[in-house]
Amino acid sequence: MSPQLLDLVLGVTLIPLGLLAYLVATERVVGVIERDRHSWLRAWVWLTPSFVLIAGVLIYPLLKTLYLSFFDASSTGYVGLRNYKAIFSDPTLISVLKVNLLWIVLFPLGAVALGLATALLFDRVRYEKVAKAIIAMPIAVSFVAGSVMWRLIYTYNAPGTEQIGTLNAFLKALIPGFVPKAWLIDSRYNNYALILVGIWMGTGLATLILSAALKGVPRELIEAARIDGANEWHVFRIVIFPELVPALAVVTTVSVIAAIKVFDIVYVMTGGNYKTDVIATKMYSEQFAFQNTGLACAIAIVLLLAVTPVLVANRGVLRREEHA
Amino acid sequence: MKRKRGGVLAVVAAAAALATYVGIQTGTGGAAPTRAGDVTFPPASVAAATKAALRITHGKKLGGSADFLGVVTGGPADALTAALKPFEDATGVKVDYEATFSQQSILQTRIQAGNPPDVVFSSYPVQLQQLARQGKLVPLNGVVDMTAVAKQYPKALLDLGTVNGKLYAYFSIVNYHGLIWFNPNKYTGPRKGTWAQLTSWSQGMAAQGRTPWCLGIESGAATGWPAANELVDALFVRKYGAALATQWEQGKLKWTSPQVRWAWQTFGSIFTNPKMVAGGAAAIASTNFLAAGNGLFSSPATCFLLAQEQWYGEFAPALVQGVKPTDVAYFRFPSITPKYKDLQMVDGNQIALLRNRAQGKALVAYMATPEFETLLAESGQFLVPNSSVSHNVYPTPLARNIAKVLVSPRAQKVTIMVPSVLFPVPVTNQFFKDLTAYIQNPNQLDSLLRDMDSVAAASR
Amino acid sequence: MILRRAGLHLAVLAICAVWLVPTASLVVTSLRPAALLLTNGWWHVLTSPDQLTFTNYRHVLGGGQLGRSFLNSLAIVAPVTVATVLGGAVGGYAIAWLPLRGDKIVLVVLVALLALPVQVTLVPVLQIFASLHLAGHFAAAWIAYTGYMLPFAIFLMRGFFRSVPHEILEAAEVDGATPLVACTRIAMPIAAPALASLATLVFVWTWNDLLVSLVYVGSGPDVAPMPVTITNLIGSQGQGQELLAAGAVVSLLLPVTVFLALQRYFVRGIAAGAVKG
Repeated sequence: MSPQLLDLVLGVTLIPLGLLAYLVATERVVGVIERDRHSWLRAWVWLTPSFVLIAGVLIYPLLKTLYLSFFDASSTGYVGLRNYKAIFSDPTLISVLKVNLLWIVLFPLGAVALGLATALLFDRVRYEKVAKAIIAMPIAVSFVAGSVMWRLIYTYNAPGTEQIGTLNAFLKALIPGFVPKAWLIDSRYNNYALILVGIWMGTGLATLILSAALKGVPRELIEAARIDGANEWHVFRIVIFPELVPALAVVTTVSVIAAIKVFDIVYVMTGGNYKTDVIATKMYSEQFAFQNTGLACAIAIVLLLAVTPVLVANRGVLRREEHA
Repeated sequence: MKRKRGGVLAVVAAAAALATYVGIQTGTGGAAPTRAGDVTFPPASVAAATKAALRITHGKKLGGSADFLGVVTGGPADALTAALKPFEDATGVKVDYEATFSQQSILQTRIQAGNPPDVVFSSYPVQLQQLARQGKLVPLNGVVDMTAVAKQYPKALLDLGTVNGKLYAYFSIVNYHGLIWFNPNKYTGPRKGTWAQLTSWSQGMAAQGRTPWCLGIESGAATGWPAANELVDALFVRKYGAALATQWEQGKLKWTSPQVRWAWQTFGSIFTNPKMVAGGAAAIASTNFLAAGNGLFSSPATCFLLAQEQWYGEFAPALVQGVKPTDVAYFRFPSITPKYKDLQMVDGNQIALLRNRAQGKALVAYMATPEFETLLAESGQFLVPNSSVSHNVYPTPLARNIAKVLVSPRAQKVTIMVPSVLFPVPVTNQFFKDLTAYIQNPNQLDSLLRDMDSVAAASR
Repeated sequence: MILRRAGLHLAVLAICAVWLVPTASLVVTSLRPAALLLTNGWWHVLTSPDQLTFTNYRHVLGGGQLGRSFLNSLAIVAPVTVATVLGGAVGGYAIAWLPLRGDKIVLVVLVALLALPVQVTLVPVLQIFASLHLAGHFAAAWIAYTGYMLPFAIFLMRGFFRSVPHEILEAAEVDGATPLVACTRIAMPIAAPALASLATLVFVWTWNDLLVSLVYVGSGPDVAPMPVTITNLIGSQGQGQELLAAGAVVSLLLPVTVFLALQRYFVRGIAAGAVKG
């Protein structure tokens, strides 16, 4: 048996067995320690294997990053808040933040709006499953494959020469006198072009979630409203939309977080050039091209802090759920 | 714990099983698959290489393995691993060649994490110099045959791998820069002579409404490099020579100096002028460098001159429909200041040793031998700087010609490194970006040069 | 009315057609000879279908490296999927139904960790692996991927379990079942669709990931997973785009198959997990 197969079999069998053994073994111990079945020790014990991994792979690096963000490029000299000040005063870094803002606004808007629209539209056709599968398939596409695909679409060729890029060729055929555009180079369009790639890749998940939520709306309510003479827009606004709010909240949260930390699309397609740099690509180039560890770490922390509003909103949802 | 339901699971399992079966059939089968199967060498060369490897280990079988991280990927990587096979067979050392484009960042990450590879094949001389100074590299003085190496490799290149008198890295493969490619069936201009002559021919063409030059600089994150490496660098070196180039690389000559400014401006006088270059600024920045020369072969030709490295001649027939090897030829970058007209600019990849293990040391010694370099040359994928490798071993006339020029006896004296490769990495990256910006906004030359100065100052 | 129906169908079909264009362009490109890639657009196959060829696939599959990478990917992804789904299930259940002080804080921390960029973890985690002599082995990838995905997994499963009526579990406990039994015998079967959705996502995301494997496992031929191998199909001068296209299509086949096959569970699983938040 080849070594890969051996590893595969070992991994797939030992892990569940190990976890089960762990749970059974700890159950005995916990059962003995706490008489009362409803103890909180058990919960922590069950969470421990996960927390150990998370601590090692996420929390420890996070703390190290926070620590190093107060040091200089080679991590030898303490510089306090200098790196953070640079982020908010250096014009290059400020324009990077602006690009991220564009992502944070447009990407969730696009993904959620399209997700909602497709969920509603597909709900009414018989081949809904196929349509949803088509929309969602980009989830299974890697960034490597995706970049090849979208390069084929965005390629620019000088006017008067053969247009190899799908978008330019299509627009040229459609619009007389169309001048081909350098979608990835021209800073008037390139960020929107990249966000479009993101929307193509991310809408599928929104569609699936929202479609599922839509199916959860009781049909009787919708029928009743229609019988009462309400038009479609009314039905949507009064009956359907309120039921979708929790799902919309989840989809929006995930989209906003994805927009904040977007990296692969930008890195692979433009490398962050021509004013498409986002926080994550800037962090990468500070770390590896400029070898400025301190600044790279500070940028990472800022990225994390950018997520706080999302967390606050989520806490609100959680609290509401508690009272429900 | 049930996780999935019946029928669908069966389908997925069947698909996975089939795929796995196919994977096993094509992927395993005992020893390493013949991924280098397309690459064959003349048996005499393989025998010579095996003997060289045996000489290095004094006939002993070392066994074990060596972790070799390199930036060479794709078809060239297959040739490289095939050329390493005689070493593996002779010494019993399993060479684990790990290829990645991101070699620079992966190397940095692994060193910082205390997990370096044994040997690295790097395209960043400056990074290796830094690592040598930080003590992360093992000196090669006891590892390779120093007398042979000093004789066979150009001194200027060896100097780049030397820190504090000790050799840490040597160039194993190089690219020849500053070649101007043309289509002999369509080109009517001068094929030797001076830059002034070439420029006046170009202006003549432009006056007739035919753009003389092609340029394409799109290259993902490294967009801009052909403008830098092949043009601005070449102009500077031809005009001001090697000594001043070294000052520029070391930051002693500022970007805002009249000399550097002259190089940018001369470049700009052609390439920011839409009459002089096919497609104008937007086309330059978004045309991939591989497709840049397509206009040489179209009917009618949309451009006539392309500045690019030596491999372009081999690539063009494969890249463009209908192009034959006889449709493409080169001449060396024309002279500007007569005493610098013979300088030849190269860049390349260096071999360096990071861990003091027997297997890694033997590997590094083997790769320095002319026998190994001969195999690389015979594969047709590489140009090697080792002067003991006869130019006749290269498979094509084009490659033979260039090799002859490269390793001629005078080569020791006139081979220098392309300047852009020797700036600190942030400066090189900024150079590419700012040059790309300059093409689109020629009136920003001064502010871009000042920007370069500040990046250069910050990187010291 | 008919007009509206026609309009509806038109809209749906148009959206689907546009959505398929990128994938179609990749598949078609992979079937074209190299010399044509830079010469004209991929849609030219419609007018001259005789240009289609399997040469790129022959190059990419011959030599066996892609087959080996497939196994490497499987060897990395399957254990990660198993570990993440189990960890997420058990962890999500614990936060949802076991009494836990500070569960809101735990949840907020998990959501916060979702935003942590992977790049900052590379050096510290590689250091840990290097000192444990795990670097370059699949186990490093198992630990890393599982750790990276657990916050999402726990978050999702917790949401699902919150939607399960508590009475079922309480009834089981009244009958004398221990919490462990209640979890495994009763909650897990109910959670099957959600677990299937989670497994699908984890499988697909891990299969397609490049950076983490590249750093912790490396690109040696014995261990390189598919994304690493197909990226390396491009030579040092950027030649080989046609091979990259073919390789990308090959790499797509399994995750797309898995995704399409298990897609229907998304409806049931994600519904509960997401809808109730």
